[in-house]
Amino acid sequence: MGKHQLGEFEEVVMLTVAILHGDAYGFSIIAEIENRLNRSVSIGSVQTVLQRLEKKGYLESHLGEATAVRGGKRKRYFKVTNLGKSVLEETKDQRMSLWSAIPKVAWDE
Amino acid sequence: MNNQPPKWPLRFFRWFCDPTLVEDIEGDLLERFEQNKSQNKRATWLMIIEVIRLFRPGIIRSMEGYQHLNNYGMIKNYLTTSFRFIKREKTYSLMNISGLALGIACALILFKIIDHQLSFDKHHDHYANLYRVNNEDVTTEGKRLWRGQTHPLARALRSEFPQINAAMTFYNKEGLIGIPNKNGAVKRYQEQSGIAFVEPEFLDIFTMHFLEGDPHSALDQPGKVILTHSKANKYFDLTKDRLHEAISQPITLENERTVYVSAIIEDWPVTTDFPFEVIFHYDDQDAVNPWYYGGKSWEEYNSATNCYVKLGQTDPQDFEEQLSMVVDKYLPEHTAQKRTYRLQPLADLHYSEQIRRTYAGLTKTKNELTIIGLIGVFLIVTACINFINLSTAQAVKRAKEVGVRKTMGSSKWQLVTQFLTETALITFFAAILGLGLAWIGEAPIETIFQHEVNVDLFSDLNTFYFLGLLIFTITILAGFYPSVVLARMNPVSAVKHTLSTRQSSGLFSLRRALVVFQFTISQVLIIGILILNAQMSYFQNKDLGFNDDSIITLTLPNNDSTNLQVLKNELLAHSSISKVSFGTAGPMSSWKSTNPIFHENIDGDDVFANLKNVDGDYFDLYEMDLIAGEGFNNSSPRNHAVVNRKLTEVLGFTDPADAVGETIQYGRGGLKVQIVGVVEDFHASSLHSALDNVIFAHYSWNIFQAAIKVNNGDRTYENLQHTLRVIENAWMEQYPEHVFDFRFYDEELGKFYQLEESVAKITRIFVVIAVLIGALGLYGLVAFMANQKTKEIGIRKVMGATTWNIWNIFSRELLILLSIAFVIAAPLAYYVMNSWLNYYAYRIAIGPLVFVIAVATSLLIALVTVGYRSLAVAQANPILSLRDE
Repeated sequence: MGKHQLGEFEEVVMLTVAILHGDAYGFSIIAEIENRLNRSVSIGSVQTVLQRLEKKGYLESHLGEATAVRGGKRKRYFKVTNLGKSVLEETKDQRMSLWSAIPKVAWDE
Repeated sequence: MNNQPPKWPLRFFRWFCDPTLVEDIEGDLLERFEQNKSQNKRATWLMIIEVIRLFRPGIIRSMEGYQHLNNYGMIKNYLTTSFRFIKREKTYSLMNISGLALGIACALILFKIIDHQLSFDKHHDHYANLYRVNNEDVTTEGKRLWRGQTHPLARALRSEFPQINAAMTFYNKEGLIGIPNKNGAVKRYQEQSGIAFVEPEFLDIFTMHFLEGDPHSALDQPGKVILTHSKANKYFDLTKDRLHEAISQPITLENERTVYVSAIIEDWPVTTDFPFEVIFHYDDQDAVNPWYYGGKSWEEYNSATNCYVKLGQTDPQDFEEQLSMVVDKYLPEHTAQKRTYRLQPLADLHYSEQIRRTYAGLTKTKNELTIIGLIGVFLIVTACINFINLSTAQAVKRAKEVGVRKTMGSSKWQLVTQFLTETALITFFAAILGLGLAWIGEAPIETIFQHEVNVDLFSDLNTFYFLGLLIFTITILAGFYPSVVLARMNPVSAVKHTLSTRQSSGLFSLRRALVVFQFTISQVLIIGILILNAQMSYFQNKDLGFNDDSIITLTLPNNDSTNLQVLKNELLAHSSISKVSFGTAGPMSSWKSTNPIFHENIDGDDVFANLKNVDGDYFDLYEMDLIAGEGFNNSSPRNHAVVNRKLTEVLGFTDPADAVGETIQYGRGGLKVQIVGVVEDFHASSLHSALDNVIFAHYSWNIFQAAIKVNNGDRTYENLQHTLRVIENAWMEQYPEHVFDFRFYDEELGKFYQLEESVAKITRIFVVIAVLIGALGLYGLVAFMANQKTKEIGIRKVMGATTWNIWNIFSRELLILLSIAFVIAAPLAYYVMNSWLNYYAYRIAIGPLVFVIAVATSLLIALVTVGYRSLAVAQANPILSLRDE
């Protein structure tokens, strides 16, 4: 614990990458987040987080083939690594243990 | 609405974005733009916002930029390659580094010598505003500039020109200092230097730091003395916090005058021409200077009496002109008509060519300093030439590397950078080694120069600035040409190993020119040192016209005839002492009493002569030849004189005997002497100058020196010790209040050539080093030729060439280069050395022998160097060199 701390937005991005499984690249991630969470996300913020997560080893990436849609620019596809997966699970476990520790009476007041 | 994504935000984005991210993100931007457009949003505007929001750390490229990172990697690679190369080619690197290190070490030492000389007297606050007043006299031999002054000059200047400040200084150098202690006993020190007498104004003109005492009253009246810190220590043995106890202590001068310590100043820096350590009031000099006469005479000159002025706002040229008024108003008419006062800036004092002596020693002319600098430059250039020869010789070995690098896309300038980096690395190692060598050489060189020069490498940062400059210059000078040669190689032939041997061996290649240059330098140096040595041995062996062997001299405290007679008898009673004589000085001496002489045969300009007072045993003791008349005996009248042959010729007598009986007047004071004898000409001054006119007068005052001839029979150390003890005992009986101090006359005479001796010693060292570096370079050249001709030699050997034939191939070219060098070196060396020899009135002629020796020496060095390398090649198995095709 404590060694791998994910920020909220980092967690969102990683989960989205996992959801998009195999089709996760910059714009698709942004579109997915905007769709599911109904919040507006800038390319800058997502790309920065992607770079950071890749540097930490939670994500890995490869360049795909060029498509006509993007003016011939190639996409960089992201994938969650095993390390990333275990960090996500650890984060989830932490949350769950916190949730389960809340006494029932707390919500009644 | 515009369907195309806007160009300039994208261009901006591409500019700032990290290159590894740019493609992916740009795609995102375009996709979003399309999406926004399809949703009828203001796509362009939104895109601009996105781009701005992308402008954040993590996306922006690093400030260093990728190109710089790339360079850094390359430089690292260059260093690695260089290190590997240095390690692999050990002989080559060793030769390169040691050659450069020797050159750098010498350059450092020479730099420090020059740096030291150039910093003389700069510590005075008014350095730029101080002048010495010199005399310029019109004489038969043209204008003569000299420094000796009359005592009242400064006072006259102060009263005539209130806006300037002037002071007289008299540097007596030697003196007997006594420190009386409480019980009445006196501790005595015979000081060999540092005894000075100055007017109080000296303290305002020159800068000194007072540790104790008040600068304003320190010398305001006679009877006060200022000591330097180290003299105060010597006399009173005080620690720094107890220095004040020395103030008001009495000290005696020549057992005659008692004065009181008024102040203590910091020691002067070694770079001063005013080594005043015990500074008395000017008027106290009557205790040591019998010609002081209260400082009133406008007739008495003494080279140790100088006048210094501080000009303030006055223009030096205007002031010099105004000085003619002083000439007319104060000087006696016979002096005034030929005299002009000249101002010499303090900045020129240490470098003067016309007035070669200062209080501290000889001046170093700008010419001499330039020669020292040139030797340094020569050494560095020779070392660089070496480096160039060795590097280009190694070029063939690097060819493959260059070929591969070029094939991989290395540009010419990248290769040049690589080899320059390598040169810089080698130079850096050499510099460290050179600094070490110079540090080792420091002490021996100071000893050779008898501490006249000071080589303290680590006294200031100048050494390191100079070293930095040296590394840079050498890197460029030595590294540039080899780098360009290497970088220019054709990659295809380099990799294929078919590099043309003809490529760089035109009729007049740069390398040959360099070798000729190097040979020229070493031959000039060899010829120079041979001539210098010959002149030195000429100095030592020239017949001076008298015998200076086995003579001990003592400086006499007074002229009391009873003392002298008893001393003489005591000494002669001893069997190891054969002769004793008293006189003003030996036949050749630095101290001279020179005045004009008058005789009916002399008309027109003044003729000068030296006067020495001697007793009857003088000529016998120094073994001088009487060619006419007779010498003195004890009853000879005081006005009898013996002159030298030259004086009789000046008086117009072809036969010296005719001059006997003539009367001449010495000086303007009316001292008349009658010639009773004539001695053969002898050298009264060092061999730098021509013969003087000399008068020996039998006269019982002006007796300063006792000369004692020791029996030549058994000159063992013990005998000499014993004799010296006898002399000391006899001395102490007569002069119990003086310190016994003796000198050997031949050693004293040797000191006249001390400067030449030091220069010769130091030049010898540098010549050896220069020749050594040259030999290294030659070795490199032969190595280069051997590399290029491996195949040729292989074929020749197969065809039946002998080792001798092959050795010939190498030597022939070098012999041609050596001959060209000799043709340049011989006249150059002749011209330079001949003009140097012309400084001496007595000099050797430059014969052909020195040139023969020089050529033979460099030939021998060349052939041995070539022989070693070419024999190795000649004996190699031809199969090895031929089979790689």
